[in-house]
Amino acid sequence: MRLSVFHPVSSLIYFAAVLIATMFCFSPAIQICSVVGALLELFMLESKREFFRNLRFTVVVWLAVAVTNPLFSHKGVTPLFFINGRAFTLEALLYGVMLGGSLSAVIMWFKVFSKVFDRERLLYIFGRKTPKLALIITMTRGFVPKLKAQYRRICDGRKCSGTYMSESRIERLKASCGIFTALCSSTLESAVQTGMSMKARGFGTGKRSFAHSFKFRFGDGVFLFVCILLFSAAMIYSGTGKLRADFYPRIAVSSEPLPMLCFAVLCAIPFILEVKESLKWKFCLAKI
Amino acid sequence: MKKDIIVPAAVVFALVILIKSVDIQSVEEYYGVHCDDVENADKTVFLTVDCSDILDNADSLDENLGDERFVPSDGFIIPKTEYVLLEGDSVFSILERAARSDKIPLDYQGADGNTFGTVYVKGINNIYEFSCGPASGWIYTVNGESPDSGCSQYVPSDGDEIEFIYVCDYNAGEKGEDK
Repeated sequence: MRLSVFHPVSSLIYFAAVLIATMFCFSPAIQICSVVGALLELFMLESKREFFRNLRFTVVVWLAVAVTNPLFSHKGVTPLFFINGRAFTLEALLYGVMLGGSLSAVIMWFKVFSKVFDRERLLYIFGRKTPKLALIITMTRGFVPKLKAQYRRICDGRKCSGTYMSESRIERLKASCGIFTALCSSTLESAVQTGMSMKARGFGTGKRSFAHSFKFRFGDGVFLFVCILLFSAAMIYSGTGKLRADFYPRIAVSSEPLPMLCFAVLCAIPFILEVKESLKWKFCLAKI
Repeated sequence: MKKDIIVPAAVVFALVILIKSVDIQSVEEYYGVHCDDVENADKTVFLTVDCSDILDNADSLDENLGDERFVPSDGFIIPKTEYVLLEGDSVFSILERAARSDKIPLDYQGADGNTFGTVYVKGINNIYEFSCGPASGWIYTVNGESPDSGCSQYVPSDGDEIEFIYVCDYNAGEKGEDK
């Protein structure tokens, strides 16, 4: 079993647990576990090219946050240098590194979420109670790829007609402004069309019925139980101050190995499952 | 295309302005300020930086600051010391000079950062506003009285006694504003 095979409720609770811990436990141990877990899982899920491109973006965000924080916060006992008479301190820099780490971990976990949690699952979770929310979420998620494809199409069309040929940067900028205008109008038009088409098919007039093939199996229960156990262990420890981290004015980090281990295992579950599955596949292939 | 020069030129221009406006000093350079000798000066002032109010309200102090290094046991970060009063000095510039020569960290909001048009002292020696209760912060007095203007606007005269005092609740004492 891998993460995308579990019942939507189990995997949703898993993601909620990891994200809540990453966002609200301000401790280097938790952040490191979360970043590493997300990286490993993304490495398994994405193609190499996609992975490294996303990684580059994440690192840029991380560095930007890390460097920006000390420009605004001057607390801390170890000044590295002074900018316009204000201290650029080591503590503020490390706080920024930590904040950036937390941010990029959340971004990466959402990327994993969007890979694992497809449209079917979203509709299953939200469809019954709030069909409108489910519709908005699925449409929004489909929007950007659609927009990109449409952009490509307009671009290619323009290239064929010879209006996008100039080498000059300014000319090309002008040309892409034109493409953007065309893109906007076609998007608006398609939005109107979608609305009209949905109305014509009677959306919202009656009760909706659902067809899905999700069944809550024994494995889902075990997975859910393990998740909740590990998450609550990590949260209880962090609530009692065993994972405390203070940066100002001096760095004081307490990281007990046990809660750290709990959270590390929680973050590594998808990767472990993924590795197990691919090993099984290789083993089966070898037997043929 | 000639037009293409515009973009790199704008980038270079922005970079030059950025570099011109940023002044980076090393730690030694920043703290390498020395106060002039008071013996030969014709005008002097007395400066005290006092955080003894924290000692009476130790339970509400941020626990990371519970150290001799941040809150001295006698409550004085700078005991009453005589400093030279130069032409064009404000209360704040005397504090800044003293802090730099004594290697005391000082954090403040610049005069352009608020509507009062004056510097606001946020933290001295890593003791910040709100470090000891929600109404705590730095105030200043001159000869025991709170002036009506901010610390970078007030021009002290010869022999004035300037005190920067950390108050844990500025509503309690009638010491006035902290700007």
